[in-house]
Amino acid sequence: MSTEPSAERGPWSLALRRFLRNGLAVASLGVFLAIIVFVLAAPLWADHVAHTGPNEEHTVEQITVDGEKKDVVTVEGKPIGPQWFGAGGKFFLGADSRLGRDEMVRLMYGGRTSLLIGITAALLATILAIVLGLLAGYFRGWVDSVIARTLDTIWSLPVFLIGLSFGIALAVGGLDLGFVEVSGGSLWIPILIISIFTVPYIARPIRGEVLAFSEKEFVEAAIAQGASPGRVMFTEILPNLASTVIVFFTLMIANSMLFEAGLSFLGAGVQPPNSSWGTMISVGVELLRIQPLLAILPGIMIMLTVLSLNIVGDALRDALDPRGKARLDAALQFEAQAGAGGGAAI
Amino acid sequence: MKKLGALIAVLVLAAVAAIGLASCGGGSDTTSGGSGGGQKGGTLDGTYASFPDYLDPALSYTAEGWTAMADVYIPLLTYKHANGAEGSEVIPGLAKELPKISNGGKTYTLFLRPGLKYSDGTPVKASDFPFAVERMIQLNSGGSPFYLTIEGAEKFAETKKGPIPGIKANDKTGEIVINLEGPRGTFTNELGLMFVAPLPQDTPIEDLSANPPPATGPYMITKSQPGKGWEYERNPYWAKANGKAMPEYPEGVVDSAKMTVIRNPETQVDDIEQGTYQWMQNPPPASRYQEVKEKYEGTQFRVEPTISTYYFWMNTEETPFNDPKVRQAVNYAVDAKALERIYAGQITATQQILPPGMPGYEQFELYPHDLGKAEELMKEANPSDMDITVWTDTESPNNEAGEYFNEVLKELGFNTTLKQINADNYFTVIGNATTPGLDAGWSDWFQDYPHPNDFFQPLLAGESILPTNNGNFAKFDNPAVNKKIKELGEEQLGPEQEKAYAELDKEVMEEAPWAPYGTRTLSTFVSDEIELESVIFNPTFGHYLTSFEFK
Repeated sequence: MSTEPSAERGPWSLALRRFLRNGLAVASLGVFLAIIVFVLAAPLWADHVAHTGPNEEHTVEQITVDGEKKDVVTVEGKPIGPQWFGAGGKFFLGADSRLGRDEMVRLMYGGRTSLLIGITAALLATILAIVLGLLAGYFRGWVDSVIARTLDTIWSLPVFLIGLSFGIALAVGGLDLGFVEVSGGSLWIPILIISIFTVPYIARPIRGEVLAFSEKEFVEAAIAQGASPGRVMFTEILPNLASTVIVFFTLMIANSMLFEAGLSFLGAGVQPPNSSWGTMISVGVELLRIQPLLAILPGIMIMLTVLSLNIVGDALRDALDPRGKARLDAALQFEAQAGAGGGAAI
Repeated sequence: MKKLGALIAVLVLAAVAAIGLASCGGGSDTTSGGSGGGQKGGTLDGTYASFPDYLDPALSYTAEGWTAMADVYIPLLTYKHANGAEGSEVIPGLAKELPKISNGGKTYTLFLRPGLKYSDGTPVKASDFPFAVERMIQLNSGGSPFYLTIEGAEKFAETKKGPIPGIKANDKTGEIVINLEGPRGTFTNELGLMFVAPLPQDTPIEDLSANPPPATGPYMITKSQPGKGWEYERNPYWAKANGKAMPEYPEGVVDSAKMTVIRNPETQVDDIEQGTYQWMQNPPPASRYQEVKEKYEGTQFRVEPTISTYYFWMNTEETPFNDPKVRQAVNYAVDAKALERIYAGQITATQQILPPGMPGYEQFELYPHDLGKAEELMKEANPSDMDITVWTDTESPNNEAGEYFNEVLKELGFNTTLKQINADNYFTVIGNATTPGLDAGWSDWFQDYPHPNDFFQPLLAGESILPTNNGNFAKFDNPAVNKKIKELGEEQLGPEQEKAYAELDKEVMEEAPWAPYGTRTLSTFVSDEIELESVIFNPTFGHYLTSFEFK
C-alpha cells in the first residue's frame, strides 16, 4: 500500500509503480534486456573469442579441440557440433552449415538483424499509424473515409502471402521509386514490407481514440482559442495517445520480428549471406537430423524475445490504463458468472 | 494468465505451422535397366524439387524439363532407352531410320514413319517438323543456336517470317530434307533433341507450360499446374497407332503418373522412405546423402555418374571481369576441395570445361588453389569497378556454392551483392539480357548429347549470346575460339578432332570465362514398391517414365 497520496504522483510515476508490481513483466523486461546485451556483444565475441566474422567461411579448415584436430566440415559435408570452450570459444555452438561459419557468432549478429528490423519496422509503422489515425479521427468526413477504407483494404489482404510476393520480387530487382533506390539485398526491403502491412493494426485503434478525444472539452477549448488543426492534433491530442502508442509499439516489435522470421524462413526477408534468426532456422532445418540445435537455438531466441515483449506490452497497457484493466476484469468476471450460471455469453 | 495461456497456444500453433511450412519447401537430375518383370499398371507418384523451366518441348533446356517430357515428345531421332554409354546412341525416333547424309555433310534426308498420330488424334505430318523448328526459333528458345546453320534459319531468326527455305517436307511421302549452310558434325545428335520434336501446326506460338501440346510418345501430359506439379496418362493413340509404327520404343509399364513439386528435399526423402511417393527426380539433399546411400544402395538407391560441369561464370563483357587477369585470379581463389564438402561428396573436383567421360577430355590443372597468387593478379589488374552482383539459385547445395563464391569474391576485395533466385526461374532470370547486374554466378551443364561441341557451342560461342534464354552466361565472344568451335563443329568426331577439342578446352580456360569446380554424380532413389533394376537413367534425358514398374 502506498504511503503517499496518489494525487501527489504524476501519471507516469504511478504507471511505473504499477508496472514494477508485476513480477512476470519485470522478469520479462529483464529477459529482453539480456537479449539486447547478448546481441550488442556480438563484435566482442566475434573478435576476442571466436576470432571470426558472421559470414566468414571455414569449410576446409581444422580446429584443435582439447589437443585433437577436427574438421570444421567433414568430407561428407557434416558441420562440426557445439565445442563449447573446447576450442577456446571457437565454434562454441558448432558450425552453421557446410560453409563452416561459426553458429554462435551468427546467432548474435542474426539477433541484431532481427531486432533492428523488428524495432525499425515497428517504429515506422507506429509513426505512419499516428499520422493516419490523427488525420482520420480529427478531420473525419472524406479524409476519414479514404484513410479508413485504405486501412480496411490492407487489413483484408492476406498480408503474409503478399509480403512474401513483394519480398521475393524486390529481393531480385530492388526498389526504385525515383527519388529513392533500395538494393535487393537491403534490410530496408523487409522493413518497408513489414511496416506498411502492419500499419492498420495500430492506426485503427489510434483513430478510435482520436475520435473520442476530439469530443473532449480541452480540444473544443483549443479550437475556440483559434488553434490550428495541426496544433490541436499534435499538441493537444497526441500527448494523450502516449500510453496507447507505447503499448502498441512494444507489441508491434514482437509482431514485426515474427513477420521477419517468417519472411526470412521462406527466403523473402533477410538475404544471404546475412543472417537473421529466421534465415538461421531456414538453414538449420536442412540439418535438423544431424545438428538439431542449428534450428532450435534461433527458434528459442525468437520465442524468448516475442514472449518477453508481449508480456511487457500487456503489463504496460495495464499500468498505463488501469481503467482499461478494470473494464477487462469486470467483463471477464461477468463472462465467468454467466458461464457458471448456464446463461448465454454476451 | 489466460492471456499467457493464449499466447503460448499461439506460439505452439506457430511452431506447428513453421514445421508444416518447412515440409513444403526444393529439384535436379539423374541411367540402365529394362523390364524387371514387375506388375503392369498403377500410378507412379513422383516428386521434383522444382518445377521444370518449361513444360513445352521447344523451350525447355534443363534436366528437369527433359526428364519430364522424354516419353511425351519424340523427336525425329532420339536416344536409346539405356543407361550409361549405351544410352548415348542415337536411334530413329519418329523417323524411319537415321538420316542419309549427303552433299558433303550439308544435306540430311529423313522419312517420317507412316501412320503416326498425336494424342489428340491429329495425324503427324512431315511438315510438322519445319513448323516445330520455326516455332522454336520464334519463341527465342535457348536451343535455337543448334539449328541456325539450316539454310535460311539465321534470316528467319531475325525476321521471324517464314518459311525456312532449308527444310523441305513432303506430307505425301513423309520425306524431310534439311539443307545446312555448311557441314555440322553434331547435327544428327541435335535432331535427337526435344527442341525440334514435331508438333501439330495449330500449336500456338507461345509458352505452353500450363497447357502442354499434344504428345507423340507413350504418355501425354493431361494436367499442368506450373510451380505445383503435373500429371500423365497413357497416350490413347500410342496403342492404336504410334506403338505399332515404332515397336522398338518401350510402351511403359505404369498407366499414369503424377509429379508433385516438393521444395524441401528432406521431405522428399522422408516421403520416399514412407512410401508416400515412389520416386524423387533430384538426388537426396547433401545432409541426407550419405545416410540414404548407406541404407538403400543396391535396393532402392543407385549412384548415377553424369557428364556434367559445375562452374561459376563471369561476365567477360563488362568490368571487372572483362580483364582476364581478374578472371584468372578468381580461378586461383576458388578451392574445389571446399566445394566437394559443400556438395557432401557428390561432385569430383575438376577445373576445365570438358568433364571426364566426354570425348576430348584430357586432364589439366591451370589454376591450383592459391590465394596469394589470386591476390597478386588482382593487384596487377587493379579493376576500376569492384561492385558486383553474384547470382545463384535457392536449391541446396547450389545455394551454398553460390554463397561460397560470394565469399571468395569478397576475399578478393569485391563489394558483392548475392542474389538467390528460386530454382524454377533461375535460368530464365540470368538468361535474360535485361536483368540488371549479371556480373557473376553459379551454373551447371549436363551434356545434351555425347559430343564435346555441346560444351562449347551453346555455352561459349559468341553466336550463342541471346537476348532471352541465353546460355552463354559469361558472354564469352572470342573470335579465335568462335572460329575453332565452328570449324570443329563441321567435322565428324574422330581422334584428331578429340585432340583439337582438348586443346580448345585449355585455350578457353587460359582466358578463364568460367571457374569450373566439379563434375556431379546424381542418383536414382525409389520407394521399396519400385523395381530399381528396371529404372533407366539416360545420360541425355535422365529417368525415363516408361522404365518405372511396381514390384
